[in-house]
Amino acid sequence: MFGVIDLLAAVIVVITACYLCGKLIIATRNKQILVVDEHTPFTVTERDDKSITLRTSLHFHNDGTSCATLLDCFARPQMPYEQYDGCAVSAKLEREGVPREDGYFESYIIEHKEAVNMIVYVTLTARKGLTLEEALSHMVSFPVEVIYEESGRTPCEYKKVRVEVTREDIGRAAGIEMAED
Amino acid sequence: MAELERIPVPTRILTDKDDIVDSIGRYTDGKVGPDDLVCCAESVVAITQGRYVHPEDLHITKVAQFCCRFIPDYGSLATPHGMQSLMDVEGKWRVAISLFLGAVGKVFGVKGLFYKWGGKEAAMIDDVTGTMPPFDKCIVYGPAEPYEVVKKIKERTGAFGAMIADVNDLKRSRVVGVTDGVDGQRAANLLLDNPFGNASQKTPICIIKNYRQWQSGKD
Repeated sequence: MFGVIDLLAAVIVVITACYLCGKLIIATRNKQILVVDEHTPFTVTERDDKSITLRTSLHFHNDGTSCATLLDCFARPQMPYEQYDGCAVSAKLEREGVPREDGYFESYIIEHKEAVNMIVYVTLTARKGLTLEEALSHMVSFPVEVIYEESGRTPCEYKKVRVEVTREDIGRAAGIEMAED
Repeated sequence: MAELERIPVPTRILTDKDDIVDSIGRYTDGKVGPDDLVCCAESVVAITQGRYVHPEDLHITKVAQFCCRFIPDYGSLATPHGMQSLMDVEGKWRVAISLFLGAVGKVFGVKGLFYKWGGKEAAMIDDVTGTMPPFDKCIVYGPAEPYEVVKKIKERTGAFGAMIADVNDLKRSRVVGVTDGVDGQRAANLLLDNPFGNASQKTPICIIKNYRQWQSGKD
């Protein structure tokens, strides 16, 4: 019949199985959940005769139970000349508090239940001999795509969010009357 | 007795186009004496040997995705690409079985079995964000043949000894390769406050002046 050693072995096996099952359940539930909130209103950071730079902030927060890694993050304006060629548009993104002149995005870990702000700068430069005011007054609304490479407990993948730069944003920030086209 | 002094040596970013022995020889020229110890950060040695991989270049298996979930959140193997990079060099099933046995070992109070049986790279891999730009987007393996490399560094610099160390800002310092005659762990303890710096700092070399006298005084 069963002896003390058998009983002991059975207890050890049950404890080990319970421990491993517990680890398995916890492990399969762990995941990063990166959420990007609505951006803040645009404000002017620089302005000269030919160009104006607007700034907005995007709040990235990790609502998951494990770390999220941002391997890359950059901003890309979608403003083709077919739509409007009076302004050249460029964009730059940096992590708040970590300005970089080279535009490089250094990989960053967002711990669970923590957040980081990404600052997007959008520069509009007048073209075709127009003054800044003339160029901006005919400007159309356009999106800036913020593209980021995310990882954590899941394989790396690129995701994107769109930040809409509206005519109204531009007019209000630049302090000009928008033309009726 | 001559005083022990640590001199971090700044360099430009070293890449796989550089030879680590030549680079150390060039940057430490005229600074190293016969009583000194030349130390180098392990990730930089690995990078100059081309021992890094971009996560996008890995084929991530389901086994790696599953196994990485059992590594604590801050570990370099806690991501599918970190785990896959280990499986690619040490074998998928060796790593998976070691992980399972490591978990069983923990039930009985035996820790570290995974790192013992999972292959030497299990403890050496640095996941993304673990190294300075532009390698912050890469997974960096441990250096190859570290004991051969330190021998060459010693010959090239004329130092008392050379050491490759894995040091981080968490006050951990580990010897990866060291020349004969140097008490590795004692020397590594001198680097606990990480004079190499992490992230964007570019000081992968550190000279410990008058190390020989210091070590003999401690014996």
